[in-house]
Amino acid sequence: MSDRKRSARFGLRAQIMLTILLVGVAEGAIGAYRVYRAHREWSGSAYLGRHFERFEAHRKDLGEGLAAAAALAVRGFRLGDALRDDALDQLPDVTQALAETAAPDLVMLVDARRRTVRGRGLTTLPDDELARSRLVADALSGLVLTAQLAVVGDEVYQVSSAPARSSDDDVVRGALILGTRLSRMAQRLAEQSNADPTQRVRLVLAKQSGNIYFAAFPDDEMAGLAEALHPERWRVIQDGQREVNVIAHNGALWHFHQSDLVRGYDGGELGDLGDFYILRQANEQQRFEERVSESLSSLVLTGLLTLAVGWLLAWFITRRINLYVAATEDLARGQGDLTRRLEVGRRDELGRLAENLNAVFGHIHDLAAKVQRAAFQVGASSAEISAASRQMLDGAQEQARKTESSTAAVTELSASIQQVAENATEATRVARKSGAAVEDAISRMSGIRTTVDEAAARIQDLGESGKRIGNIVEVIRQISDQTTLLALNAAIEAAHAGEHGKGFAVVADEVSSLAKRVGQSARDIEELIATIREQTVEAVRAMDAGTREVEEGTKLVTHTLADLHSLLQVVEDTAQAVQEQAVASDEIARNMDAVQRIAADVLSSSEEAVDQGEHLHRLAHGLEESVKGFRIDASRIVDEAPALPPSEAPKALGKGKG
Amino acid sequence: MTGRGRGRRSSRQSALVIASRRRGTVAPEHHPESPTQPPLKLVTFDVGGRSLGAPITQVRETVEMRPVTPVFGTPPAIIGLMSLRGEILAVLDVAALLGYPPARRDPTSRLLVADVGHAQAAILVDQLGPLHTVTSDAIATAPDTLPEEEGALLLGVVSRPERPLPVLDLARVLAAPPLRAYLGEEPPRSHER
Repeated sequence: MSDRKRSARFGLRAQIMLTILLVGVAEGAIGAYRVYRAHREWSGSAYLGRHFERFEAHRKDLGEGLAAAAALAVRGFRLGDALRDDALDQLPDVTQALAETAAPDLVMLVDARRRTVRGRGLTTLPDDELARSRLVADALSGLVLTAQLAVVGDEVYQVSSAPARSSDDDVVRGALILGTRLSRMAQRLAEQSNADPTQRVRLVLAKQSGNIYFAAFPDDEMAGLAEALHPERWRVIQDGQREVNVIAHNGALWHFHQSDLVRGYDGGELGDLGDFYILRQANEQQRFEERVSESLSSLVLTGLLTLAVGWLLAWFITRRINLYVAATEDLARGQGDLTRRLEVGRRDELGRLAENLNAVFGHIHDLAAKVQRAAFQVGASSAEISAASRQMLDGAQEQARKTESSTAAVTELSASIQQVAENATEATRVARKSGAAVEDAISRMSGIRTTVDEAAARIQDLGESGKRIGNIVEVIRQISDQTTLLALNAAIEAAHAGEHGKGFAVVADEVSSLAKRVGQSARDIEELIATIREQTVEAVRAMDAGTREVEEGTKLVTHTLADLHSLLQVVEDTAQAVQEQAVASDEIARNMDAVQRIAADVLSSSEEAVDQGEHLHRLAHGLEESVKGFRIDASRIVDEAPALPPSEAPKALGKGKG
Repeated sequence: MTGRGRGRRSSRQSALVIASRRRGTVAPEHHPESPTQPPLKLVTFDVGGRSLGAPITQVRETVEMRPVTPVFGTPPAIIGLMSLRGEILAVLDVAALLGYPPARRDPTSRLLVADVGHAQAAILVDQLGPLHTVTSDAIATAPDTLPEEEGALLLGVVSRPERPLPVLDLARVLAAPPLRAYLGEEPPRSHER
């Protein structure tokens, strides 16, 4: 464990320093690579060769352009006809027009007699020299010259020409020669090569014999140039890994590019003019070396600085970390002073780490204190548990005995409940039967009521009939009254009739007595009918009373039936409940068996608990031993650790009690 | 109002004269107490709750009650007029003459048409009774204890087992002072035999 720790400590410091060092080295490498790249880009004659090729292409383009311009001018102005007719004066100034369009440095119009009839830039050249000039001769011979070099006077030109023929006989009457100064082209080449004037390339046209036709050097630097160009005077220098030839001139070394032989007109001759040289000052090597040495020294300095900074940084970080490591080492071994606290120092990340470690120490301290106290309490409790377990064992044995007798009692109870359930079912059956009987009684009473109603209706009919009879009897009585009256009248008539009416008087008397008897009978009938009517009313009243009685009885019986139904419901519910009771008592009996088994289990568990209590006691002792190694401030032990956040408090309390 | 023409056809004698004339012609079996006396038939009726009798010879007929038209200005004994088979008759209330309570007028009421020869009138009675046959001498003179106006109208009183029966003389009734002016004069007694 200590090896790992040591390697980790070394690792942290080394990692910091190595990282910083790597950064420095990477920076130096990048700088060196940059220097190398710059040097590679600027060195070598291949670079100058590319410049020369560009120059040549440009030169040819220019020459062809001038040739085209000359041909256009000859044709456009009809110079051939004008020279034949000697009528140049009637034309506009050809040279002026050309100077404005093609901008040549040399414009020369010669006639067949080799005289310059119009010219620009050649005023100093006498005609006789012109007459001897091979250039003029070639131009007048009908050739079209394109981009030919020609030495004219002191200057070197690149010329192009076009013959001027007369339109009718196609005879060459003259030629138009246009030229560009070589110095102008060299100037353009130099300006295009580099923005730095000292780094610009320079063009030289010279023969190996030493004859210099053209050189883009100031006059005061021209001395010794011809000799310096000679191959014997060349020097060899190391350019990177290569060896290259350079020209030493004017106190400087010059990279150079040499072209093939160049032909051109020189006075009366057409021949080799020499070679083109392109030169550039070769001070790159020196600058490269300077740069390299600068880079190396800065690299070394940076390396040292980074090493120092890295060591300081690593020392600064690991110093305090090592303090914390040392403070926690004892604790890591499971002992040490838990009351010790770290110095917090600055309130940076490490300061906060120290605070957190202090809080952790506080928690561990409280925890260990609680563990210690809890271990003591557990030790005490475990003894109590052992005693209690023994009591429980005794209790379990007692419980097992009691459970057995309970099981027997429950079995008996179950049997009697079964009997009750059968009785209840029987009661239900009887109650149902009674209900059916009562329902039958109700329907019969309803029948009685119907019958009584019918009888009442009949009696009412009887009363009606009596009334009708009374009407009839009334009619009879009236008839008897009238008959009496008639009989009286008859008797009166008979009396008036005297002797003759005697017999009639007897008849009238008879009729009268008959009518009287009829009247008497009618009165008797009326009395009888009245009696019948009274009795009818009485009977109807009695019937009504009977109907009401029947209704009352029906209502009573209906209520009885409802009560009976309720009773039946109650009895059925009771039967149901008793049935369920029987099931439940069976369940109880079964459960009692289970309880008996469980009691046996409890018995064995209690024995186990006794053993476990003793085991717990031993464990508590071990726990107490395990936290003995920590030094604990007894005054700081409280039930609730003050350093704990509120959310942690209940958890710690629970642990303390456990 | 007079209506006399028809009533004079049979006899103009008083009730007693008629009774005496018919004596001996009536069958003796009708009156077993005095077979020699000619029987006298009486029409019995009730007025004001009292039974009265009248000789059948003074009764023309009996009819049922019928509408009576009251006449303005007549004495209380004349109830009004009625039509009987086209003959106009005065309807009398003898109760008013006799000082009895007034007779009822209801469907059981009857009208007794009296004919005393010179006058006819209908007498309102509560109820008609049976014919009562007596001998002529069975009619006793009305006692003096009766009121004057009643006694003046009675023929006499017939004793009966249950109650004595006053017998009206309808001729006197129709000739009673309050009615005389309306029913005509009684003929002179000289006609009697």
